[in-house]
Amino acid sequence: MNEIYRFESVKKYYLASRRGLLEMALRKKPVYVHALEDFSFSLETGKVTAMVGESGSGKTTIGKIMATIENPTSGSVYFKGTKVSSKDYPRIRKDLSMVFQNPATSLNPRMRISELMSEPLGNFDKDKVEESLQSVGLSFDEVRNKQPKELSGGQIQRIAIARALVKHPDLIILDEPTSALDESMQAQILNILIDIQEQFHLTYIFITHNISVAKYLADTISVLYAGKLVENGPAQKILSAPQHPYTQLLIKSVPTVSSREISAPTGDVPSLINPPTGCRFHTRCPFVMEKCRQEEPPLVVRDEVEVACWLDA
Amino acid sequence: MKNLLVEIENLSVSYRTIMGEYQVLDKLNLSIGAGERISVVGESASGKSTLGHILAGMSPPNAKVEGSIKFDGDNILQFTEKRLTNFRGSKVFMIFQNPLNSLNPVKNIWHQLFETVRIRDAKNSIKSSEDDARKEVIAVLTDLRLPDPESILKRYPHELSGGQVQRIVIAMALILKPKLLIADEPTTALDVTIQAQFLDLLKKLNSDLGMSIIFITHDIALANSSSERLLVLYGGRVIELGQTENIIRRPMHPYTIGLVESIPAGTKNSSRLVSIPGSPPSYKHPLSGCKFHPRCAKILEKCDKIEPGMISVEDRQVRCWLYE
Ligand SMILES: Nc1ncnc2c1ncn2[C@@H]1O[C@H](COP(=O)(O)OP(=O)(O)O)[C@@H](O)[C@H]1O
Ligand SMILES: Nc1ncnc2c1ncn2[C@@H]1O[C@H](COP(=O)(O)OP(=O)(O)O)[C@@H](O)[C@H]1O
Ligand code: SF4
Ligand code: SF4
Ligand SMILES: [Mg+2]
Ligand SMILES: [Mg+2]
Repeated sequence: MNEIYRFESVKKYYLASRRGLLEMALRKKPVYVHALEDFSFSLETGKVTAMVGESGSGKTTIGKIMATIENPTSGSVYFKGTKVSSKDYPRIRKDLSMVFQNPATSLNPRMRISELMSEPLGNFDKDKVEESLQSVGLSFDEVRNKQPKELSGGQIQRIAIARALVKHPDLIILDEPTSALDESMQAQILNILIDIQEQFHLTYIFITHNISVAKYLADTISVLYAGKLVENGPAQKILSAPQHPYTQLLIKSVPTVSSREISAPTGDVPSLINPPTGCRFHTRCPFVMEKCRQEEPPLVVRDEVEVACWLDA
Repeated sequence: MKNLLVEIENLSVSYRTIMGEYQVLDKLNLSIGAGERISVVGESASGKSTLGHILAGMSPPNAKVEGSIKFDGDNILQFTEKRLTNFRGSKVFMIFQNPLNSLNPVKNIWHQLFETVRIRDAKNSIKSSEDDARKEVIAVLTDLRLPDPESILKRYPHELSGGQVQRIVIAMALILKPKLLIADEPTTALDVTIQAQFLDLLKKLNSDLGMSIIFITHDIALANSSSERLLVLYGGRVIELGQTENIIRRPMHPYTIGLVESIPAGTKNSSRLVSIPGSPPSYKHPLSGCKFHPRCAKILEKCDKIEPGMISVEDRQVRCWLYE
């Protein structure tokens, strides 16, 4: 397998920002959010990998570490086979782009499209800009002098994608790129993304909380729960026969046009400041056993899929 | 047919702005049965919230409203301000997209739920003791499976998760027991598993208390699991109305067909998504004829000239000349 990124036991802790003055004065130890814990994972070149999970599960954190926007707290990251340190960031950034959920806030509203499109390259390269805009179905002459505020949400997101393409990256990290759009716009964007992925042989990390979207475009799915990878493998396998209890419940809670019945797990997502001991899902899991509360299940391979659960282990 | 609760007739709504006046809803007709669950689906700006607000007796100050909305037989559009205030607290209750909008940020949860009990009791000319109110509130929170209700009551809205805040809002509805609950994109800020819990609660309110529910959403898949009947809005017009199941299984209006086909259901290898070309209509420069005609692949000769009315076809109503 040819991998573009590999993570080994990566942790990411953030300093919890809501610390009142009093708390700071009384408490000596800073409080951390355990956003990502022992994350080991490899990203295959030329494939679309969907990162699914609910808010706070650590999806964006993984995207940001890949995009070199955040540093891991511990663990190792390998990019194209070479161990990454911060001095490699400029080189890595040439090979990847990131597209964010809310295009309206990620693009400077006062810049013209021609300027926005030149930003990633540092200079204006008409051929590349024209080609990128064309790949997302926009005409350079029509949009060059416009500002984001003159465009619709769907058009702005196409600009953001064209901007990600302009430096001819190998990897694009897409962080919920269609979540803010209406369904009919979402369909346009998803089709464009698939076309350019095939055309330019790109690798995608597609971050989404929408299982139907993941099903539509992913080759591989990684399911995150509260900062832990709980299931990882071929999309078909995970969607047709999910093994982890969380993945099963997640799939059942998604409304679809084909079925009217949905069902929900009980309880709330746990705190990441004091994450549950043992399996992080044990507070909501219908199959919880004593062992689950005490010991964390390892990620083991079963039928081509990696699963972190004590059941059937 | 269930007993009629609301009858909306020829409801038209225009907004006055400094750029001029424009019409959003146009002669909308809808009856809502007691205990019925209806979804209102449409893209952003299709007029969903406008319909919700007017129905909840919360018409914005710059709105010009025509037609009639009979609620239990009385036309709420003719209510005095005093009667409207009474109506809002007792017969209808609205849940907003951002649940924090429904709560007061500077008062703790107990204060707000106690206030809710008092409002209800004042309407029934009862004076409730604080003790009784506390018992009732705790029973309601326990019913909603909020862990540790006593501690939740002491907290402020920002100290709760999105799912918890939305359950507090549901608790208000449980206390007030309105006849009609209007939920305007209530789950947009929630995670899917919490959304599924919330839909479950709405179903319980409906089946246990017989509350009618209007569920507003831009997500037709979500409408599928939250209603019996479906109303599709496009550019301020009802374009399709019928049983949810039937419409989703076999949409008839070209816009609804596009909407259903644009939802990912399979994989990229089986078939590409169909997307609706073009963009939604503008209210400021209204189109002649059918509001969907510039985007419609099946356009007929007269479509850009005469706007179709609602046409009854088989099990539903459709606003499209194809079914004339
Ligand atoms: N800069 C930050 N400072 C403090 N906490 C953060 C920061 N960024 C993210 N977090 C926290 O880390 C956890 C994971 O966040 P994130 O990776 O954004 O999750 P997701 O994208 O799955 O919603 C959340 O609890 C979030 O609040
Ligand atoms: N108070 C108001 N004044 C002027 N225009 C408004 C007002 N409220 C909504 N609108 C406009 O009316 C149209 C329909 O809005 P809305 O009912 O909120 O649609 P939806 O909920 O489907 O997104 C939009 O173009 C919106 O900008
Ligand atoms: S390890 Fe235990 S608690 Fe965790 S998912 Fe498996 S059965 Fe449930
Ligand atoms: S009335 Fe004409 S333009 Fe409108 S949806 Fe029907 S066929 Fe299309
Ligand atoms: Mg995120
Ligand atoms: Mg709205």
